[in-house]
Amino acid sequence: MAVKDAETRTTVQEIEETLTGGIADITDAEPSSFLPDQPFHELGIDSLGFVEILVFIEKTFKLQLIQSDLTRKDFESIRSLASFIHKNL
Amino acid sequence: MAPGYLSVNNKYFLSGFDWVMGVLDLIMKRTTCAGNASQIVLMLDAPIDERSFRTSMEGFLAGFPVVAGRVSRHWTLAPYWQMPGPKGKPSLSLTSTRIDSAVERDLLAELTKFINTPFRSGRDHLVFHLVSSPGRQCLAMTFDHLLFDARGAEAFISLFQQYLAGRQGIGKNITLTRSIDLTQWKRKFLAGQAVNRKMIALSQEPIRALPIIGSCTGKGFKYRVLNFDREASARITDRAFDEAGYLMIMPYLFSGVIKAVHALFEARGAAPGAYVIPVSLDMRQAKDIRQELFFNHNSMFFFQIRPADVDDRKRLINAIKEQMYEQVQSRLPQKLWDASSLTRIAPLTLLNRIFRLPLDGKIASFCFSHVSKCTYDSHELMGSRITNVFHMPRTPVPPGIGVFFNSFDSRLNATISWLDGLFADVEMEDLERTLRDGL
Repeated sequence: MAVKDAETRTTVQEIEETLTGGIADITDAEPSSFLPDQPFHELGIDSLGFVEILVFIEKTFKLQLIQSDLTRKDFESIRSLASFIHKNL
Repeated sequence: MAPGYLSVNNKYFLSGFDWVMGVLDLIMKRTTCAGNASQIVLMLDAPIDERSFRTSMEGFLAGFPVVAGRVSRHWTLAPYWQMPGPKGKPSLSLTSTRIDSAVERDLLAELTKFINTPFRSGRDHLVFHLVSSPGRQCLAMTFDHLLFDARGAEAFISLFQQYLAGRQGIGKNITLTRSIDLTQWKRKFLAGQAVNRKMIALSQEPIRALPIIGSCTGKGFKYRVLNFDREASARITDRAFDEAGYLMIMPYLFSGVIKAVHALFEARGAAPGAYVIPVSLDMRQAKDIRQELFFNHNSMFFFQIRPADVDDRKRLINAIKEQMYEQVQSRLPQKLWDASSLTRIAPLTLLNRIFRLPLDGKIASFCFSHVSKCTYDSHELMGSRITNVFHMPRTPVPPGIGVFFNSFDSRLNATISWLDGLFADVEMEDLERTLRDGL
């Protein structure tokens, strides 16, 4: 069980890293400037930027999320988004 | 690169979108009383000293001869921005007015006169206005869209603020050269093909538009500005997050505008068809604004909304989100940007006619934009507190009506702009009320 937990954590972390890289490309910012728990609206990301992130998620993880509820809880930060993607992969 | 091109490195060659702005300018000069201009307004809680402002602004403008440039053609036919010679340094155009009324609508009427006044010549692109009314003052900057887009105008005022603060080297990093862009033809033609396909798809259904009656020459624009305080703006944001999803403010505001305009069209008994709405978007990253301040850096989304989708808010929001997603995915705004560079060879008079060919000459049902957070984030100007910042754009004709959102200091503003004569005042009262109720 402990091994499985470690694997799961790694996978979520990998998703988090991939997301951070993608968001850095979209916003033209340094990946190190993002904190995983920082809400997207504090990063200056608006509707368009967020849709670009959703397109990146579809291309990378084959998950189409635009018609999901996009609840604040699941989508607010890189960490919550990575967990949501992990659960839905 | 051919040796002949080396001599063009010090010029700012206009982008296709700059050229499109030129076409809109021509269309608007022919159909209304002035060209494609806009106005940014800073509301202040106390008057600023006119003489100090004049002296400071003159000093500031002297560092930016670009504001006194004009469009010219290179021998390759690529249009560029010709900077003024040593004797053509920018001069300040400043008006100062006092009105006795404290009523907001009277102040807006005064500001409306400025935006409906054409620039004096092809080298004039900026006019400043100080308007005093009991208890407050406002500074308005009327600007030619050939010189800036809305965000660029905000950034220019912000730069003036830095100049006032005595900051050294302001504007040093601003880009004032742009390549001639006579390469990558295949990419541009493929982009043109994709854009053409989109236009054909949009024209499959009749476009719902209100007729612009006869010649509108000499007509000006009218405005309503809806201000939402911090609490109301926060409530709108919360509702947007609940109903449209996290960060989906633009689709939520847009859906509210569509509902309000739809009610207006229905009341007018507009012919059946689908709404086609161009929505401008900024192609710059937030940090680029300091460099890419002058000229136009926008592109467009095109939304097609069927009246049957308007009554169900959830379905309407989903339609907007889906179309936005599809256009980001297919890179339509980038393709539109690339394809527009193909128009640069054509004279503006010819493009004026070509622009009316697709969509049965109606072009759009109405315009919408959401400038999002203001680039200008200072709260003080020359000792006066800035209480609000909003925009007053002249909407391209046709359609001659647009709704434009911006936010300043966590407060939302919605500006309704329409060609005088297109709507009665009572219709605008209804539109304003429906819009407020729908947000």
